[in-house]
Amino acid sequence: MMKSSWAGCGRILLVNAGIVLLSTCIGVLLNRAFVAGPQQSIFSYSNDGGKLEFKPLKASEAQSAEAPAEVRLPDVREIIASKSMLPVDGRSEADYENGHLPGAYSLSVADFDKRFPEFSARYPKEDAYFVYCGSGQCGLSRQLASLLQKKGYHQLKVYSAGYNDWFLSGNPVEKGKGSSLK
Amino acid sequence: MNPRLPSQLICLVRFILGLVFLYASVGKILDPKSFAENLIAYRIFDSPQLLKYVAVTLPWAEWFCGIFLVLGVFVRSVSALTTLLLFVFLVGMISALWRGLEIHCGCFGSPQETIGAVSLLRDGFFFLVSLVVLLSPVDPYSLQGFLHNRRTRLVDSSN
Repeated sequence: MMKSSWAGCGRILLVNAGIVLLSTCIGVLLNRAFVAGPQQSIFSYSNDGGKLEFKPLKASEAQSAEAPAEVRLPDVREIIASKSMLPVDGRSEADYENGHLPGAYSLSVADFDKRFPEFSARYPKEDAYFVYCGSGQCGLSRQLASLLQKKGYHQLKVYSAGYNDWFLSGNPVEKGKGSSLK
Repeated sequence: MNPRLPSQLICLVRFILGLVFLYASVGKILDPKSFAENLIAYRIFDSPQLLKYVAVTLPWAEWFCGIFLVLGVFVRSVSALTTLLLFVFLVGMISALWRGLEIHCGCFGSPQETIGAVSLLRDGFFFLVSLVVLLSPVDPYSLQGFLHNRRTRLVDSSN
């Protein structure tokens, strides 16, 4: 009796291991590009070395347009590596604390009115910024860009693919409150 | 009382559970990136690589569970896996609600459904359904049951 129940458990484990193995093989084979995306960022970033210091471009150096231009992952990597623009995170503070782009400032769209005075005191309108949210579906980055434009910030770019794209591409992320929420 | 009724009921339950798993898998198979984004929102995975493997593996595991349940192959083993998966989904959703996350559940590949009472009740219901299939004898209408009965008949007739 005992022997047959152990055999039954072994069979269940064996079949399920087969299903998982087969699923992994098929899933990975059909989504090679997605799974084998870039594992290493093109820059190295250490969270232990203190805060990032951004050296923003001046207005004349940055692209100016009414509808903010899109930036894609390779551009964002360059921007963060060169610290030429400040990333501004439009998601909730909880999402920001769970993970954000290195050196990003949390300016949640939901708390925009409350948080904007501190942001405007620290970051001048003449500098360039790029805004992002979770993904292309969240829409918060566009909302944030629009809100900032109304406040006179026109040197903006939008990283629509957002945090999910950054994270899934294996780039380094920061966790916690960062400098903006302390 | 019809003695075959329980078997028919078990067959129906197994078939419906299989269809549900097949349906749930298709959207995720077609768009693994959206599914991965749903998984990010749960804030469970720290490693993007692990998350991507889960996002491409889980939908196919669901698909195999679905097809095997519909056909009635490896019923006991597959229902053990579906029960485990549904339990994990349930724990994941309860954990998200507990942490105050208002996120899309990613249950059927639909990006619109937010975790709430409906998704919890539905998952809990299918968990119980899966448990019923796991604890019940394999029904004779399944391919597994059919082959077993045929083999038994052949053995009996040869004796």
